Amino acid sequence: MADEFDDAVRNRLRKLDATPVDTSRLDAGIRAAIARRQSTLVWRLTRPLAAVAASITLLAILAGVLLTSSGGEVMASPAQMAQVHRDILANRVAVTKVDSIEAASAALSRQSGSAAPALPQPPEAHVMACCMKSIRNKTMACVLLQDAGGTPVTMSVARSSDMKLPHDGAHVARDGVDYFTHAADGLNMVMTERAGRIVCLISDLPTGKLIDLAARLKF
Amino acid sequence: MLRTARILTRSGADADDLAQETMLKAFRAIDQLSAGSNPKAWLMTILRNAHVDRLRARRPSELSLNADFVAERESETPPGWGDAEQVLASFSDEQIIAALRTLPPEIRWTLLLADVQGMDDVEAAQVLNVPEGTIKSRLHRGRRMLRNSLAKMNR
Repeated sequence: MADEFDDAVRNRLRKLDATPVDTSRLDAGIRAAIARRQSTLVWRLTRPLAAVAASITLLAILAGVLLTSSGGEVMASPAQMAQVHRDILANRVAVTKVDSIEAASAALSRQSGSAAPALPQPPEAHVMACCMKSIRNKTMACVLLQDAGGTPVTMSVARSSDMKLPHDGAHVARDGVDYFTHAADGLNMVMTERAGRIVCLISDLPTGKLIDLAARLKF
Repeated sequence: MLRTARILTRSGADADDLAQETMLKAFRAIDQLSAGSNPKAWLMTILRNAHVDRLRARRPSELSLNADFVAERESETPPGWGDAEQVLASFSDEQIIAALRTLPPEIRWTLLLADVQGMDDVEAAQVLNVPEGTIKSRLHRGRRMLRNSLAKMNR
């Protein structure tokens, strides 16, 4: 009986996805917005085709991305990591409030069991919250820290067997450890691989301060 | 996407604005779509975030679940709902959408993704960033809350 009822509601709601919609205003709006954003001569000359070109480009890139396969390791792009930080700060992801790295480790272990990677100990940073994120089915622990000045810093930790570093950023070597720095969406980030883990610190702190913080992580 | 935006918003112009914002954000953030990602789930996540941001700016109270509201909506089967398929068919799309809008946001989103969009539990859980089990329980509760909301309309 319950299944029949669930099926009945699902079938009725599914029909809403077949109702006709007028896309002309949306199409015009997108054309206008894209035209405003593009100022190159070539683009101006092809303005009437802007929306079409944008759609084709988007679909082509989507298709290209989908057709590209990679091995077991996933590469998290700086843009993705920046989005993770923004999502955590904007409460767009469910986080567990914690006050220490030990509490964060315990909370993440309860949530994800053995999937949660071990967290390094940050120095003099106030631990505020934690959560697990997934990128292409590879799990990554995220801990929201606050540095001594009160600036939020997201520390993401993944196993090296699950993630790999994007090596296209600036390279800094300190005390025999390699750090790669990136910037995306107004945020700085420092990535490093230590003790079998990929660690990324994301914040609007200057890169130098993030490297200092990363260098003092205890694994 | 435009259909979903129409269900989420109260006017066609708002729906167009929301869908347009989503498309432009997706276009700008295309490099965040990694290989193996689910493009539909990715787009719906952008749509949801854009919608949440708009609500947060306009009506912050709409973002929170009201426990009393939820409890009140999960009462027993209303009279006359023996043949749910037949009863549901008697409601217009507009009535169904109006009933969906009375539901708490997370319940509404779960029904939108799973039942309207036809996403499976894994995809819906990815968009809403919750465990799959939460999707199942929200669907169970949400369908009953929708039924009770429709029943109230019919009184």
